[in-house]
Amino acid sequence: MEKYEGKLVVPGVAAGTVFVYLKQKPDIRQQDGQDKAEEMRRFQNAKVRAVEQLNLLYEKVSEEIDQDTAAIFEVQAMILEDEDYNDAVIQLIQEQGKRAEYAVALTGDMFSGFFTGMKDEYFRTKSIDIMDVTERLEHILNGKEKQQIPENEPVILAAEDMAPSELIQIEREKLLGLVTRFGSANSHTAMIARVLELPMMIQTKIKKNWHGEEAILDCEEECLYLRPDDEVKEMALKKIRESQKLIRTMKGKATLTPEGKPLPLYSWIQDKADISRAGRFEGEGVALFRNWYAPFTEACLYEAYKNLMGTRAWRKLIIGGDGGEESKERLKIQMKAALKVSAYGACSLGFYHVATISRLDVVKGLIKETKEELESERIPFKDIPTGILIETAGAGMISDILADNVDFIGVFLKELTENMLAVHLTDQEYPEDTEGFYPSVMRLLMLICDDTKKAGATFILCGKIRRDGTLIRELITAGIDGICVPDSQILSLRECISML
Amino acid sequence: MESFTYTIKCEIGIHARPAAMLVKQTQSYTSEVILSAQGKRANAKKLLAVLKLGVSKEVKVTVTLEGPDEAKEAQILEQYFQKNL
Repeated sequence: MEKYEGKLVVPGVAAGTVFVYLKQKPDIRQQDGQDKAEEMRRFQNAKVRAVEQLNLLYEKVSEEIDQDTAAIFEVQAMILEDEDYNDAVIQLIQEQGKRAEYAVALTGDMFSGFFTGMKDEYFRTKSIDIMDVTERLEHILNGKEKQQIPENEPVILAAEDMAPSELIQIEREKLLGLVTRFGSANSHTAMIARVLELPMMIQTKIKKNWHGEEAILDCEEECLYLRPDDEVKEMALKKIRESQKLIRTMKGKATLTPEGKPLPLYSWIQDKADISRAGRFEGEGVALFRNWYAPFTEACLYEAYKNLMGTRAWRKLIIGGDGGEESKERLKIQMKAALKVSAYGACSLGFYHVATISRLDVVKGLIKETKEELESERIPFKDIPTGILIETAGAGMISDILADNVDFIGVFLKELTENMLAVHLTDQEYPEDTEGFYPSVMRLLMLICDDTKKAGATFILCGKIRRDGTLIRELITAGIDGICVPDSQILSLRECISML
Repeated sequence: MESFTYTIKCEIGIHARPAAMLVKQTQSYTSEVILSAQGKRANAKKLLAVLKLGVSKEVKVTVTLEGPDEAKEAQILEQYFQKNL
C-alpha cells in the first residue's frame, strides 16, 4: 500500500480503479509554415470551430448546471475573440512565418504565463482558461480527439491538471472521484466538482503507473491510498456505507431533539456552486449571507433570492446584508430585493456589521423608509422578520439592546471567535479548535442567547460546528432556535441532535 | 476627456465574468476607455488587457474616456461601476 497526500476541495470518499488522464500535447515541433495565407486560413477556421464548440458547451452547462458555471465558456469564447490574443497569433503567422499550431501554442503560453505570476488567486486561475482555449485550438488544428474515459466501470480520475471543459464533458456516472496535481479550490474545475458532488483533492503528485490500480480516495483525510490494504479498504467502505445510511435515515426529515422539539437546520450557502445545488440541499431552510453571487444591483439580488425560493422544499430563506455599508443606496438595494422576494415565500433579513446603537438606528430607519417606498410604488411585500447578525464582541456586549429592536439575532461563530481571541481560522478549522473557545466565546454566546430570549426574539447560530453532543445540548438548554451550517454537515448534525 | 475614480467593491474584483461584462459594456461606446490601477493602464475594450490589470476588491481604479460622446458615456459607465463592481 502506498499513501499520497493532497488538499481537500470537495469532501467525500471514493473506492475504485484509478484512471490516469494524460493530456496529449499536439506535435508542434515543426514551427515554420509553408504558406502564410494557408496558415491564416487554418487559424481562422479553427477559431470559428472552437467558438461553435464553446457555444455548445455553454448551452449544455446552462441546461445541466447553471448560468454562472456556463459563463466560464462564454468568457473563454471572448478570450478567443480578444484583440491582443489574435494580434499575437497573427503576428507570429504573418510576420514570422510560423505554423498556426505553433503560433497558437506560443500565444497561449505567453498570456497564461502572465496570469500564473499574479498575486491574487482568482486571477491566477485565468491562466487555466487561456490554456484550455489554446489547447482547444491546437486540437482542432491537429484534427485529434482528446483521450476518452472508458465506458465500463466508473473510475477515480487522476490528472496533472483538469480544465473545466474537460471535466464537464465526462459523464458524472463515470466518475467516483477526482485527484489532480495542480488546480486550486477557487478554480472553475473545483466549482464544477462541487456542483457535481464529486469528491476532489488537489496538490497530489500523480504518477502515470497508477493507471488501472485499485485505490481509495479519502478527501476528508486528504489522502489517496494506492493498492490499499484490507484495513484501509474496510475503513473507507465503512465511511461510504455510513454516509449512505445517513442519507437513508436522515434525508428529507425534520430535525427533532429527543424530546420532539424541532430545531431547524439551515443549509448555509458557501459559494456560487452552492447556489446551483441549493435545490438538493438538506436543511429545513437555506441561509445566504454574503453577496458575492451576483452583481450588486437590486434586480440581480432579487433574481438570486427568488431563484433560491423557487427551488423545491425551501420552507425558509434567511438573507444577510452588509449593515455597515457606507452608502444608504446600497443598503436599500439589499432591503428592497429581500422585501420584494418576501411576497413569494417565508424569508427573513439580517444585517451584519452593526455593532453600535447609531448604526442600528440607521438600519432601522432605512428599513422603514424602504417599506414606505415599496408601499407608494404599490409593490407587494410581507412584513418579514428582521435581525442583526453578530460577529464582533462589541455587538455581543449590547445584544440586549439589539434584541429589543429586532425579531432575531444571529451569531457568526467563526468571526466572533476570531474577533474575541484575535486569531485567524482557516476554512478547514472549527471554532472549537481554538484554544479558549470555552469559556470566553461560549460565555458571550450564552449571554447573547439569554438576552435574545429575554427580549422574546429568535436566536440562531451560524457556523460550522462539530458533532459535539455536549455543545449542542448546552445550546438547546439555552434556547437556541436554529443553526446554519454548510450543507455537507446537515445530515450528520440532524442525526446527532436526534440521538442526544 | 472625462474621468472618474472608483474603489472596487465586488468581492472577486474585476475578474472573469465581471471583466467580460465590463468589456461588453465598453465595446458599445464610441469613446476610447482606459482603466488605470496600481500604476498600470489597460484598454477597457480588451478582455485580456483588463484581466491583466489584476484589479482586486478595494483597489482604486481611474477610468478615462475620450471621444465625441465622452460626457454621456462617462456618466453611464460610472453608474455601471456603482451598480456592478
